[in-house]
Amino acid sequence: MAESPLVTFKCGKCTATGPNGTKIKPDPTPGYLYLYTGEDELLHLCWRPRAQTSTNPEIDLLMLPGDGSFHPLVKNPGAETVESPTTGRIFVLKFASSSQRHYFWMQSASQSHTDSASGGLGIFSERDQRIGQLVDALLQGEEVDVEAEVREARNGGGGGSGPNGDADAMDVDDGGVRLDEQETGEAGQNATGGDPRDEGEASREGGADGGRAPTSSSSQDPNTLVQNFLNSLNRGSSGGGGSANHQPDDPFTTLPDLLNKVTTVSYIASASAEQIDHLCTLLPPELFLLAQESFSDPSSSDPDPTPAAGQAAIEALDLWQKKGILTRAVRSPQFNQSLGSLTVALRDGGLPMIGEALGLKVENGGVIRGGSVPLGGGRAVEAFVEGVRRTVEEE
Amino acid sequence: MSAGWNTICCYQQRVRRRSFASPPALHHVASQGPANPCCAQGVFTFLIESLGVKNVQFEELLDLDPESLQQLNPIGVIFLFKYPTGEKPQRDKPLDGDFDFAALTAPHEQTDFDTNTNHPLWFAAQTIQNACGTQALLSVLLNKDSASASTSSASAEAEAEAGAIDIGPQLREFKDFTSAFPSDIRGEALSNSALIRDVHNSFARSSPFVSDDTRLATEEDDVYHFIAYTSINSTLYELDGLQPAPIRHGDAGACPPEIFADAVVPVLQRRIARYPPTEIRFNLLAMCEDLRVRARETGDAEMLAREERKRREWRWENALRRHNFVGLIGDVMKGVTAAKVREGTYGAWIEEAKAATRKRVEERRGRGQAGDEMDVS
Repeated sequence: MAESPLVTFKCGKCTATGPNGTKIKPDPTPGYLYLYTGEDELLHLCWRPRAQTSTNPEIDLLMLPGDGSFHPLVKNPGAETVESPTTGRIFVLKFASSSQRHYFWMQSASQSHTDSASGGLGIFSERDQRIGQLVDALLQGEEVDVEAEVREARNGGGGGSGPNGDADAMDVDDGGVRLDEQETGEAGQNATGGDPRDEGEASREGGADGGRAPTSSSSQDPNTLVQNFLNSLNRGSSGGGGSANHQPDDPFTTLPDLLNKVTTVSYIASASAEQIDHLCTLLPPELFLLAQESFSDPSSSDPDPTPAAGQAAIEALDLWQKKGILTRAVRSPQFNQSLGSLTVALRDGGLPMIGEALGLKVENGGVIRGGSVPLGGGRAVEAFVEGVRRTVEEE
Repeated sequence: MSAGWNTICCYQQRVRRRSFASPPALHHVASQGPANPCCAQGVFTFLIESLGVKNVQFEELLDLDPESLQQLNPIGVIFLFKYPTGEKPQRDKPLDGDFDFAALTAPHEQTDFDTNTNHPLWFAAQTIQNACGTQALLSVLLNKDSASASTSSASAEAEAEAGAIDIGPQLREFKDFTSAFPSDIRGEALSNSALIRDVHNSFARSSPFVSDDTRLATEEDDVYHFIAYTSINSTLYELDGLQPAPIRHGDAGACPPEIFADAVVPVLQRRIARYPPTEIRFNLLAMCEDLRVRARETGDAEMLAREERKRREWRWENALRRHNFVGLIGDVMKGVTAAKVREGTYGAWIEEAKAATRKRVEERRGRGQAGDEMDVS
């Protein structure tokens, strides 16, 4: 992350538990919630443990303007006091584009001195509310003078301050933070968690509205789906402008670099007969007919052989010959161009579709957590590679 | 504007420039990528066969040398090059030669040297960039067909001498249909022809990138252009769909088909010399009779064997080009991953690939180009 965060404050994340995931359980790990503008000019909402550096947040959500909203979770909406129905101050992050929710709890010292049933630990002070409002405004894409707001939140805000003052909430300690650092009033371990009123199921179909997925994907050949997607990229952009938008500091790698000739050729050389036979079915049958063709009468062969003819040709060849054909195919410029083309497709938002077409267990269906936007750039390639590994390990 | 003309991107390869026997000297440029089998000749040959043309093939010219070109008995030459975006079509006068507008509107006045018939010149103004390869092919084919009224055997021989070819029923129909049209309408008709478009697209790669075989599209938008040269009515013409009219080189009637090879070489050399030597990427293809037919006629068994082998290569490349590799890539990826996990080398494999990507980006940056990890050239 090259940019410095717009706003940061001490915050913990929550996990959904219980039937239907309607119970929210705060995670005690001390952390920071922060927003920053990425190199892609888009807003990111992130959470990281305080012990980690800011370059590797555990949660990194891409926020399209207006898609996300950030509000306190209150037990009495409209009441004068803004208070969460629990022993902590819970914020909820919602999306217009999906039903996913994220819950966070403020870890800064509570400024409440109210003597309420829950000990007042769920009450949002004015400072707390200001922070929440600042985050929400940024998520809406509003022009916010962040510095001014932060100053206001720090200086203003009602109801006295604890021993560490308001600076406590938004102090970011990037150095080695002691994990046993204790905060007063943390909602942490004892909180029963909220019972969100308006929650439905948390999960959504992975990839269902990602990218350009057609509606009846099950009835179409996966290869065709991916090819159609590649075609749509071609028509949509003028000569592959996709690569120009990608973050050069996160290239990960490419399929041509992973499946380079050394790797693919040695894989074929050591593959079993069964694997080879299966791979042969993924090549055009004409290759096998050409190999089999008698030299004396080449003009008799059919340029569009039937699958049966192709299958017969495959069976007529021995393992060594089949390996030779596969080797030649993976060394061909056409295969290598396809590797590049598929990488472009992954980077340009095709991961959900490609993952589904190839039957891969891609994390989150290939979309950014919390939203419906497909992963892009090097991260999509990374998720693809991870998805392959997960799939083969589970097989 | 018709829909769906895909780019035939195998044409758009970085081709090694060879040193030529005669001036101007074109220096050999070591190719940076893997050696490319030139598949343009195979693609074009199969393309016109699919359109119904009989016994015509393409041969790549590695030497711009009149003798070796003459040996092929060429019907025409296709010159393919990276279109310099700075060079706009000349409206008043071409950079070399003269516009022959008269050939557009009326049957050419000059008669053929021995058949004494007027052959109107078929020329189409190109409407779609992606169609320009096919348009160049057709501009030769449709002017070289044996469509003259004469049917006597003597004339047939003379026609064969003149490089007349059998373009097949579909193209004959297309030619007749468009014969009365002005050139821009012919261009429209071409792009609207379902047959021509479908055949073109079946040979085109429908992938997003339009650059070198392993290099992916970046901000540079390489535009490749195709120009045909042929002798029509014993006159040397340059047929470029982006130009308003055919361009005549030399005097009318001064280029009967048998001296075409000699006449066209200097014209091509002048053209090549117009571009900076380091910049140009180009390819030359001669259109000629199917060499297997000639080998059979002359009883040259070795030549026949060679040509058959070449055809098999083309069919191999063609099969790969049309193939959708997504399934194979998926399974190879799974297989390699499983093997690496089993061997405990998975992490190292990923890291090595990442390092290779980084290195390439650095190298491009070092050459002053934008770092683009998708450029694997």
